[in-house]
Amino acid sequence: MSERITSLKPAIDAADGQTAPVIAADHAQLLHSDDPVLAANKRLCYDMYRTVLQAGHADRAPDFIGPHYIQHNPNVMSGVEALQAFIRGSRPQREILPHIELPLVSIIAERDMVNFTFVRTEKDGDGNSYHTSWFDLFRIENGRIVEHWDPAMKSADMLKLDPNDNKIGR
Amino acid sequence: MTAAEETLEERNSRIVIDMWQKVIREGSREAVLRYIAPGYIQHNVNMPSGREHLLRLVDIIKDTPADFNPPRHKELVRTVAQGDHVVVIWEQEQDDPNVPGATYTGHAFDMFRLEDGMIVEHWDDTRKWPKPW
Repeated sequence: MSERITSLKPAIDAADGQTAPVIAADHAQLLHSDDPVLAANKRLCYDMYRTVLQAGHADRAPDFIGPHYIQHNPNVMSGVEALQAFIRGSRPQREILPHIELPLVSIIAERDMVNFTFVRTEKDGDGNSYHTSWFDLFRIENGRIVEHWDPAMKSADMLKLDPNDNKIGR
Repeated sequence: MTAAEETLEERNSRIVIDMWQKVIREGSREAVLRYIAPGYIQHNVNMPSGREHLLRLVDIIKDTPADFNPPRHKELVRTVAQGDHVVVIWEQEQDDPNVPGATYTGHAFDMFRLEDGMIVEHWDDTRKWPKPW
């Protein structure tokens, strides 16, 4: 038995020897779950992403994130205030859009966790672009996000970096 | 819990973790053939699609060339699975760019898609290696 969670479509052509990245064709499909708790957890994280991380509305963070937020990203401290300071320091406020604009591959939910996978564009040592994947994992407790993991490496640049210009295939 | 009571997600997570142990940690060609589908789609930037490239990788794991810099050891943090997808989150010690000789704990992610118990597609957060093999 195979259960595809969504249909994927090619995002952009890839360089020789690389597999072309794919993105989800339909976010409503990604947000679906037969389990109402998992569906609500996905929606909570999706709305936080498009409101706080994408649109830069740091003041809205407490609507989605618990006060004792545990942050595993090595460049940002734990706590909702530290996240708000990071957002204010790294991106302008924009209009809140109904969809996540970054190239989203999947939203996977199980137990108290929700994982987002994105296509991410990086530059190699020669300045040539290539594609890899980015992940954000959230743990949810009592309707609020209480913990976050991502693959970020320690870097002072990250505190100034707005990832929202990474919009291939849209 | 017996195999008969396993959910699809539990089965797929077990397959992925067992594959990792036998392929990445032990370098088993037999495990590549058992767990990886021939038409394996690879989104890791350093490897092309196709199972044959994993067979080449296990040869390197078994008999590492002197100039090959193997990835750091990863410890499992947790898996998150839904339907045919499994995400694996690992902890690994990484060099601190600000303090020579010091390390800090970072996280690495892999995502797999399975069909009928075989792994057919893989994504991870790997950056481009300076010297691809």
